[in-house]
Amino acid sequence: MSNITNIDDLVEPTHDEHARQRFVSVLRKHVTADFAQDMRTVYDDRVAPAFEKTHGRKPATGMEIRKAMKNEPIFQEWTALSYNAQQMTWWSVQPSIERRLPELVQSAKDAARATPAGGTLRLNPDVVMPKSVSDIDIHLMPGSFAAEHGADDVAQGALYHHGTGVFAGGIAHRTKGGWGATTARYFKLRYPEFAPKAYLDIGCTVGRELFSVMDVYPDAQTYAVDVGAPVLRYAHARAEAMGKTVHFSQQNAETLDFDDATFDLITTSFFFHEISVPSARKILREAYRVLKPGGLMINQEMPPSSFVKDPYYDFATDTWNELFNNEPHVRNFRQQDLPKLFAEAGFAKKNYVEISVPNYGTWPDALFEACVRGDAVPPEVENGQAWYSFGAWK
Amino acid sequence: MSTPVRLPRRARGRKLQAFSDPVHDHLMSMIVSLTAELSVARERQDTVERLLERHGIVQRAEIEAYRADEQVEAARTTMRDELIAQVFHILHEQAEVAADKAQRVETKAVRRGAADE
Repeated sequence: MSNITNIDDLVEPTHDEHARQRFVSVLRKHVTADFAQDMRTVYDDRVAPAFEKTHGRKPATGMEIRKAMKNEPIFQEWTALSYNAQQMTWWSVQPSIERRLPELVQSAKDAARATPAGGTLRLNPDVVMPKSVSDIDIHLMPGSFAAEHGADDVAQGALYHHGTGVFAGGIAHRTKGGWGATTARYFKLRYPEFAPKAYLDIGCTVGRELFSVMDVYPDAQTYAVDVGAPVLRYAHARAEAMGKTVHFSQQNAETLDFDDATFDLITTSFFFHEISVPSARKILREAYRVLKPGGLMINQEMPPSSFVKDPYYDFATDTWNELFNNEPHVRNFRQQDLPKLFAEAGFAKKNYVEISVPNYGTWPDALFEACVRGDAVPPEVENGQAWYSFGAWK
Repeated sequence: MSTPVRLPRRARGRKLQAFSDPVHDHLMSMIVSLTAELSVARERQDTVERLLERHGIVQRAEIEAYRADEQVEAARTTMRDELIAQVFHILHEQAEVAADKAQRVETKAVRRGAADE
């Protein structure tokens, strides 16, 4: 470990800012659990039976449910609460970041100069920015991943890091374990002979999942790309303070500057639903190109419509995120035939992988291992207690 | 960076319209914001009263009997001004949107996403 200050520790909320953040975390928990369950009850007890009476069948798709629920007061109120809780997530951390911004910027510069962990950072101001980053703010995070408010800026990285902490504050599986820790352990247990020497994380933002994967595969040379300079500067500063050697670069994954057959392992998390399907196709082709034969690309996502079966999940997931959380691609992505997308990118059909694994850290080790071996059925992905991933071996 | 940076508060993209009347959306924003501030204020008060009690400094009866002088009253007015600006933020945001030509670009990007394939 290094002796430089971790940039995460520079932001110190006041008493009231902390109280506001805790309130938002708790409000979000109510919105995503209790109020969402109330809305489901209204649907099951009144809206679905009324639909069935008129149509002679149950609603078959998320969009049919969306239409049936559109004018329900509880849907409108739930949507409004979700939106406000989301906005307040970012607002609750912005003042504490503004107050320490000069120190944050300096800290990142110091870390990049000292590089105690030996990582690197390559920025490219001419990177081709996707429209979903340049024109709108995904997740209602003002400024998104790439806005710069001054020279060498890291504010959006700090905002994403501290804001997602508030976002996850009331939810156990988002604070303990996480996808990277869970999935890397799954592959380590299930494929002990798979020992990646070179690892790439795409859309790394501030590095949370990538750092967890590195804990499981510490011998892999690690690379990470993102389109946003402020999140990369922030991630690099964190990595150096944590003693993690990562080579960050600002790249659009549609065209990577790595050589063919460079990586044994490529990961993304909560990435594909934020980009257009044509862009996803290009990125999968690039992933295929830069993977070594025998290498693995594995991606965490909300489970696709074909996996969840229950159209209510599609309604609840897609409606709010697509219409109000500035994630215009989510519904379209969740309806894709994923094995087909991988086949089109060059992966052999038989090498497609689809797994759901209980969150490492909140489930007993014995159950976790039984799920990995295939001796136990994992908890439902829809409840958020297991992670859904898809990908393929090359 | 000599002038303090103020990060943008308005997210670019589609605006909330959950209710048929946009005013209802605005009212809901105000209510949520107000609830947050009430929670924050209660928490701070709780902290203070617990500390006072822990150190045996002030009894609850004394708090009940307290009345502000002019100077304290002025400071409290500033606090109220700030609270009102925050709770009724949505009014200011509408002015910001009206003044912002970039809105058109955002609307286009959202439509492009929805129309994708």
